[in-house]
Amino acid sequence: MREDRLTRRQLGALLWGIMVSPMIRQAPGGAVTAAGRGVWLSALLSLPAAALLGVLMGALLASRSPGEGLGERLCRDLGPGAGRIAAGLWAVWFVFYGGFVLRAGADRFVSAVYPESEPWVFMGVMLALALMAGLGRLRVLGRCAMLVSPALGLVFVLVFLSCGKNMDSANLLPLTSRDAAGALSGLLRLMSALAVGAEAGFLAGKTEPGRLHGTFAAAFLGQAALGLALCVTTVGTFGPAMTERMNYPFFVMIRSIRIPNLLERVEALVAAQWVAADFLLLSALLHSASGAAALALRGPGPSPRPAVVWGCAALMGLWGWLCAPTALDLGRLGVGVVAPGHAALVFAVLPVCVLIGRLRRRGRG
Amino acid sequence: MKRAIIIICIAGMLPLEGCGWPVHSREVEQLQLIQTLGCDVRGDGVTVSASSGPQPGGGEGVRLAAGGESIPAAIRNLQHWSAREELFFSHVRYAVLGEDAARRGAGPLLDYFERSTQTPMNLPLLVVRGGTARELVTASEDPDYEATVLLASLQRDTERMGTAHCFSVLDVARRLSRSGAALCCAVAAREPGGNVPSAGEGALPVVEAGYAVLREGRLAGFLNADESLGTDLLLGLAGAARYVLPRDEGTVTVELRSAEAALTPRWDPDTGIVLDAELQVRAGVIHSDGADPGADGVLPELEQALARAVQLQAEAALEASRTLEADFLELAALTERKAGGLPRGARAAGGFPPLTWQVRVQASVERSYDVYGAVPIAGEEAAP
Repeated sequence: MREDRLTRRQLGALLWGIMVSPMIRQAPGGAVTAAGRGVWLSALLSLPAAALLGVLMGALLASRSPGEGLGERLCRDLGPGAGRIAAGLWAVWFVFYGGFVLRAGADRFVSAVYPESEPWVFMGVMLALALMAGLGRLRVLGRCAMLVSPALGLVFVLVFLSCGKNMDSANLLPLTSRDAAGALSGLLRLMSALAVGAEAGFLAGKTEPGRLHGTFAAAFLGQAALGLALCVTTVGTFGPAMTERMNYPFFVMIRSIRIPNLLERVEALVAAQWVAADFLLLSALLHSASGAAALALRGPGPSPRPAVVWGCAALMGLWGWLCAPTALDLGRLGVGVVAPGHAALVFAVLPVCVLIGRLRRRGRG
Repeated sequence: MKRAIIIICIAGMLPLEGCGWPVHSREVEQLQLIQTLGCDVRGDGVTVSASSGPQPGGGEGVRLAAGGESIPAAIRNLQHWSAREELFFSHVRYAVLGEDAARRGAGPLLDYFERSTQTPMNLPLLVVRGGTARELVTASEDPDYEATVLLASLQRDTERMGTAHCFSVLDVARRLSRSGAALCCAVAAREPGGNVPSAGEGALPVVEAGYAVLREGRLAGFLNADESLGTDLLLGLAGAARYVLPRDEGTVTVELRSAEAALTPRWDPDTGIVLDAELQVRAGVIHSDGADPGADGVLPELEQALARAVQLQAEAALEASRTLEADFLELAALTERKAGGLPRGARAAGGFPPLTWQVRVQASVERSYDVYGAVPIAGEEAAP
């Protein structure tokens, strides 16, 4: 029986695919609130930051042993007790975030394509699909990502080309010194979307041996480029003030795409593609959550038992059901908890854990 | 276990098939596609009118109107008049605002288009000058003179002639958001009289009537034909506009082939925005009534006359912007862009800073369409 391992290319495709959904939420929606007209400058700044983050993630996982991902690395660095606590923290976060993704995906369907529909039906179908992937092998998900991510990329390219004619350069320029200052806070929002990819380091244990610098850097750079294109086209179309008012500016933008004599509306097709991105994200979260939960419960070892996967999926579904009674609550949760949570875990907690690990190693001599 | 999950997935997808709950699905045969949507004021509320446009196979479409406290409420009431089919607004092609509704404010209609999950935003927003949207949208029973057909024809004409560009809902919303002022193509419904002999009962030919100027979302006034064309020249939107240039021996009609505008504003602390507008127009002779464009010295005189006409139109547009205190040319934003920002308080008076200008026009009449010189007419030559 072949081992359940992702190739590095599959990991790269999966990383890019799982960051699509959070990136569309932040670029430009979340970032424009912080950066205003200068949001495209934030996106431009995110390119080198993304490459740097990729290299740092690669460096962090460079000395991994076979079967060792970010969770196992934390257990090794922090010691069994603290390491399992850290893994437990991440497991809780993955479950929390998985519930949010379920609810947000359903809300997007209700808002953009099926008004007057019940969100639970979309949540139920999505959770069942993710559960199937979560119980299966990770490399099946990797192969799926190899198909889905290029298709998503192609759809985005076509959308951006079609939206070009509605853009107005006066919405993007000129930039004042105030806009430039805001660009930094916009950068933080965009980096919170990339942090979702960094958290996929938990899957590195099931990736073929070798350096992951290039894999992470390419996926982050590709995603930052998508963020830049999203910011330029959406803010170029609506302007910063209008973009800020909208829940899903990207969807409002694609509502106006028309291919004469062929397609009157394309948003349902694009929304259908987005389901694939949500499926990748949710499935990867389920794999990560069950892996981190198994680590927290019994330390490093073989793959988590199906009961752990079922348990994580059930908690995700429950949290998705309870987390936001209304779309307004969902928006507040996204801005107030989810984005800062990702940023805090990846840019504060993770470096602290790594630093403690180094100090412990040095202390041991 | 996998089999159980697959069964759950299939069961979960069943509601998507179209039973109406929990997913609200629609059957295409039961949809009535609305193509033109009008909005008027009615007391404290609004009247919404809708037309489905010509039907495939030449059948008669629907024309409906209903009132309500708000646009969504009126649209809900509109549905009561269409018992068999659900009104569907994803394919709306024109949005029309009555003059009174525009005076009260375009905000509710823009808000509806932004929030609705059905309506696109890149469709023309038109203001009915001196009338209501309902008159225009629901007047004609004749499919050939139905509102959507007439507005499509008008849009093609205005784009070709460059007399009033049909700005979209998106254009209007973002210009209001950016500069506090926006332009909408104004239309007027005219009694057919003798010029549309085949039109059915109630048909109202629609003609372009300049621009409606929105300031802070409300109608501030209208631009006449010269002011509108001047605006198009300054915005670089003038199409094949025609100028009838008088001469001693008759008139010469020229048609624009291209028009380019270079606007260079600067901020002067004493006079406000000082605009240096340089226009370059190229035209061709399309008709001559007695004058010979090929005769010596005539072409330079035509160019001079064209330059003067264009200059007057551009100045009329700038004067209208100043009089209405509406920055529909977005000069303040342009000044900010070129000068790197306006001083604090520059927009204080009415949101529109003081404006002076200098307009220079370079015109060239480059060709005559196939006929050089005046067309000789037998008998006229023999006259003394």
